[in-house]
Amino acid sequence: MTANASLLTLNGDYLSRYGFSDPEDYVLKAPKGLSHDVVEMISRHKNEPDWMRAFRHEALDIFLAKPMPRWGDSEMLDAIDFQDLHYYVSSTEGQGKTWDDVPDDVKRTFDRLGVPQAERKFLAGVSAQYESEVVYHSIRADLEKKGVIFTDMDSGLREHPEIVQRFFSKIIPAKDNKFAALNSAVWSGGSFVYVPPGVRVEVPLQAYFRINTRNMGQFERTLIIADEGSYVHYIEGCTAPVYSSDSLHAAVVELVAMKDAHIRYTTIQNWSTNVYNLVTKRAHAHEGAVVEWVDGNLGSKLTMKYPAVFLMGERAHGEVLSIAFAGDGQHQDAGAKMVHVARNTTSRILSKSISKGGGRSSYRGLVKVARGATGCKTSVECDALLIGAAARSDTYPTMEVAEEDTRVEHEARVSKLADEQLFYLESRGLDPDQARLTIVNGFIEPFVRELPMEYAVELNRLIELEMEGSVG
Amino acid sequence: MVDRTTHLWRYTNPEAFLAPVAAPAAPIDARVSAEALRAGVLVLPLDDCPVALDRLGKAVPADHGPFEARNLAEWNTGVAVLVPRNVALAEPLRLVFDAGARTYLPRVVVLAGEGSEVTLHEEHTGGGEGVVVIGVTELFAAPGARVTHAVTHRWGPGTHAHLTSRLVLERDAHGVTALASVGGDLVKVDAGVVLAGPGSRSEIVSLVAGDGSRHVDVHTVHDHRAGRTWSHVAAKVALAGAARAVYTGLIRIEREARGAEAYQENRNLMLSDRARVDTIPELEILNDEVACTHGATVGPIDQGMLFYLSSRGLSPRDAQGLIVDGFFADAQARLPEGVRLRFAEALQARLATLTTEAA
Repeated sequence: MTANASLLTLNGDYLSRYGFSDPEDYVLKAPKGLSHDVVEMISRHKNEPDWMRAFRHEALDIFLAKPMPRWGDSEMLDAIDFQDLHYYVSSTEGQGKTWDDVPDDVKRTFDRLGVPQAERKFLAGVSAQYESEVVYHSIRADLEKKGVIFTDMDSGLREHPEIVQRFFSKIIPAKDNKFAALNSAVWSGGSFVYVPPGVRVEVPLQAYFRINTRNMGQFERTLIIADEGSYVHYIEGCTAPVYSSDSLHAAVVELVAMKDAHIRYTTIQNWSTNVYNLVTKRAHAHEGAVVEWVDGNLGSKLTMKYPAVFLMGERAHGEVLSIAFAGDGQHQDAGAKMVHVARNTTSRILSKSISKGGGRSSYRGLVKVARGATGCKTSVECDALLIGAAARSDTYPTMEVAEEDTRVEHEARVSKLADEQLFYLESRGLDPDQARLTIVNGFIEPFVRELPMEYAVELNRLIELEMEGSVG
Repeated sequence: MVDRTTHLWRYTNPEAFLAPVAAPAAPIDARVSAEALRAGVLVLPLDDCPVALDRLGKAVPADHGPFEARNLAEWNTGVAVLVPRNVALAEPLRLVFDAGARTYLPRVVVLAGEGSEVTLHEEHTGGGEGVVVIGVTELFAAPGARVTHAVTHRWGPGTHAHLTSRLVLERDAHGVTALASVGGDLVKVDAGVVLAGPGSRSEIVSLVAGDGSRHVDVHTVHDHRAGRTWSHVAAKVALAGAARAVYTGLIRIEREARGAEAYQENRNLMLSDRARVDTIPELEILNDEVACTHGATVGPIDQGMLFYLSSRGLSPRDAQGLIVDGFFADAQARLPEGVRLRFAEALQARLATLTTEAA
């Protein structure tokens, strides 16, 4: 097989390799389609307070009124049929308190994901989202003692209404964009995290997101609040089973880092290649706070995701470190936004992308420095690697600077696998496949080294599978 | 109609270029050297040149945008420039556009024959309160031709101007597109080069200086459609007062353009805390056999440089002047000699007021 032909068939065996799905078994499944009735049903089923129900209805009106974005990938966006989706599915009633209570088929799914039992026990709290609700949730006792709240969003709303109502939708209002409005109307599941002042959560909090019903949209809503001087690392990992018709994933993630707090949010997204992943992620970083988004996008048909940090207080720092991998038929439209509102704030964006076969990856970003935000420094670096004659890479960085005393830098490079590097590695005895993999691994290394070990291993394994047979 | 949600209109209000129905305007003043006339170069009113009229709208068609469409339908003064094959001109051809009419819609078509070499200098002057200029220039470089298209903006205060140009390069043709924008209140430029033939090369140099409430929006395009093509953009901006600059620079490399190389840099120097810069350097790469980089920076004058020059006895104003001079110098060095001097002169006049205001 020639190198190019085998590149194009890569991932063709996705179904046998990664694809798995379990028989559908649901307690409540909303009928297809989107309407005020569906919104009302979701809210009533969840026994939500009136303010949330009103918020959902208002958000649905905003969603219906807002036009579809004319940027990103209009062709793919226009293909979404919002009336052909389920907006709510509840897989089991209530939640398993311990691992034993988790249904067997759910456990089986996690086994296929390759999460070892021992590791699950070691990790602080595995909040595994199966379908739209969290079915398993445990928090290590010492976290509870420190007053850390780590629960699903529905429980958060029930048990901590005062915190939720204070921050919910304050970072990303429903009218922010069409998909944030959709999420606001029909959200279910997601995580709620509150870390009290001065508390450092030393082990990462984790949640797995899954989509497992034909044509089911998944609309998680995550809210993380790190109070003064606290630290938390949250990890969101996604792997989705393969389905024949398109699925929609429109999450909203809101982070608040209070004075001197530090939040790191890590995502590894590997949806199957029929999923639309249209996500709004934004953080507010107050005085001296640090927010880091570590964002890996491997799967999906179309991803549109631009994690943002609004630097609201002096000396706040924002960082986005991301990789995107686009194979045949995939479009990764990802990027980052840094909005400097306060003085002496700093930010850094490092974006790496790989386009292979007919894949397309786009970096779309914003750096904004408001007038009066003196002493700001920001740098953006985009690196794109193209593998295959039909691969496509775009860079659309926007910089809006209204302040003289500021340093804004942007750099982008696009290149293919360098022949001289391949030649060198092959002359050292590597076969062409190994040589390519070595170069790609080197390319994404700055990203991989920021991941917890088990994720780094998983990512390297995924890249290896993607690159396998890329030379005939 | 376009509005602020249209990509290239995010930072400039299209309503600024709405203008009443055009009355006939004075002919474009062409200053052609004796050398050029001897060599058979023709500079004619566009109406009188069927060869040029044949190409009218081929590089900038009506669907390019609403203002380009208006110019095509209504242009009220036009000139055609024909350079025979293998003619190499040392002296630039000068076209002086005096924007006298309230609605000034000049149209230029340039045909450079195979292996020819020509520098065309568009000098925009005149204008004033209430004057709207909407100009379109189309240039066609036959195989092996070398075409320099230099444009200076020296309109008076109050002028609103919207200029579009496309230079189409055939096999092994070389293009230089140079812009020095120092006059006019509200200026929008769309300068593009189509690298249509294999082996063609293009450079764009864009120099913008602004003070007061000047608003300059520059869009550059390098559209690589053939293999082994090469392009470079240097876009430099120095702003004082409450001036505002916008830059959107697109590098597009088509699937067929294998072995293309493209570079782009955008540097913005802020001399005032009321200035504002918006910049979007864009890449669209559709094949893997490419080398492509771009960079953009925004920042104030380097305090270390200022301190050093002050310590050598320069006044703050002179020191600043020297630094701004140096900021533009490396980009100017990329220009052909005949244009460099005129650009330096145009910039100097503006920089004097720029640094006075800043210091």
